Amino acid sequence: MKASNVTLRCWTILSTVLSLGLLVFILGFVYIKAQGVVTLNFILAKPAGFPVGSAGGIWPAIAGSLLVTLIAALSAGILAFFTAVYMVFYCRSPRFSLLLNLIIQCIAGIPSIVLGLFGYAFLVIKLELGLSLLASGLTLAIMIFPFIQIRLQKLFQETSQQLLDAAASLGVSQAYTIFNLLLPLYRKQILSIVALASGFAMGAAAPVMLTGCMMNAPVPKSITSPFMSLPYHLYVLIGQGISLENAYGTAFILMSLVLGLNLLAALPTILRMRGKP
Amino acid sequence: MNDHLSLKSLNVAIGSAKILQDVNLTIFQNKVLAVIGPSGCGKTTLLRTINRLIEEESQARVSGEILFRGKSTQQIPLTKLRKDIGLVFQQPLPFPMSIYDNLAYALKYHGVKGKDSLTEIIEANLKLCGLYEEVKDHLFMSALKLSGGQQQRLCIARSLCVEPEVLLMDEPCSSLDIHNTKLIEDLILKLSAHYTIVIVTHNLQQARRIADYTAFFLDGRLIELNTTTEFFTSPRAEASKQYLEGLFG
Repeated sequence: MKASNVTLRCWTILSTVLSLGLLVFILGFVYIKAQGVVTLNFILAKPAGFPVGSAGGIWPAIAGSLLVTLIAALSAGILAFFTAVYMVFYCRSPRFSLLLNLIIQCIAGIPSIVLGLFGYAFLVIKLELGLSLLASGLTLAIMIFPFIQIRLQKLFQETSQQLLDAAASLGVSQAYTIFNLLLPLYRKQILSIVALASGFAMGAAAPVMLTGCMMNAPVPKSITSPFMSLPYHLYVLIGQGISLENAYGTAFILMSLVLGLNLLAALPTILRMRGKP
Repeated sequence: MNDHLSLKSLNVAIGSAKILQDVNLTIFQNKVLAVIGPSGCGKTTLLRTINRLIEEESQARVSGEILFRGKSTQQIPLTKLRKDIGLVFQQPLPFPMSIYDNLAYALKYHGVKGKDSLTEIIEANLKLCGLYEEVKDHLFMSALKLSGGQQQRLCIARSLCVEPEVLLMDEPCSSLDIHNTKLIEDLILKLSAHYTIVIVTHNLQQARRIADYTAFFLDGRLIELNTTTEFFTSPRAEASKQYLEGLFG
């Protein structure tokens, strides 16, 4: 074997080990630091103590994070699905398609704090949504929209033209084929992409801190209520030196939820490898 | 004899390539027309133009006229036209769903409601295509698990479910073994009593066995349309004679 091949092989193995090691190290570090903090009471109780967060738990932040992620995933998922469908199946102009792709890539490049500022100025103030779950959810939706749309577009582009022709030859409309053939066919992949994007949204602090997230709030009763979120709670606990132990506990719960979503996203691939439908 | 389809001065180009040129062709009702010719002579494009599937290709340009029951196909709503003129492809293309759902797919769109009605139509067409006995206990099994021959018969049954008047078949036996080819040929002969069939084939013997008429294409032009018996025994055009003698193709 040539020396260059050996070097390349060693470098690729080292890179893989480093990547895996980094993940294990971060997980292990947070897990060890969070030990003794994460109890059932910590998960289910409201923040307490003075300053708030130095005692008690993080339930409102867990609920807030889950709800705001749900709003973001639903809004961005629906918008991204129809945009991808338009671009793959209806848009006949390559120039317009290129322009749309450029715009979507530009949205993907907007810094999250700028999205937070936009959400505050446009959704909270201009549209009078107030500091709310809805304003934060929609801001997060803008953030994850390109993430979902680009992947859905790629997925739909892989559809065999022959399959589409076979469906068209039965005299059914394109819309019928999209909803009754392609949607069931890609259901698992679509859910997987949305789950992955949800994990991305759940971990973001900047877009929610200006649009509805509070240091202390109860579990939101409606989409117009302000709320707590895990990443912002974590930021406050560390930034204001309230409780480093509780910060690690919060980080552990946040990571568990994000990893759970990522595992959910990987489920179709895992099942396929194990030979299940 | 009734004209079912009439192609008048049909020209088709894809980009700068002229695929069909000045094609004038009459297709008679409840007869089998075999379309033959060397590869690249426009046979598949002809079928895709008849049911306007060619329009899905962004660079395709079609001129001339196709009359279906005397009416221009451009004046017939696309879904109605494609329901009435079905197309079976070279490769079997079952949808990734159960056998039952494959057959119910277009039926539901065309307004057939109720499980009993659906099942009745599905079973009748599976029987017609000689597939019912083979799959009757596995109707909810994935259609992708069927063999190639079974998949092709399923695709024919799927096309027949929506009750077309014309069935276009693009080399339906090219990927099948002798046994399945025989089954499909028998099916075509059986269907020709009720359907107008246009079959593209590279297999001259197959054309001879099943077709009432044969159309020979060369370089995008219709060279000869004749009864199959006459075409194979005394072809009119010199090019047809050479093709049958295997001098090119």
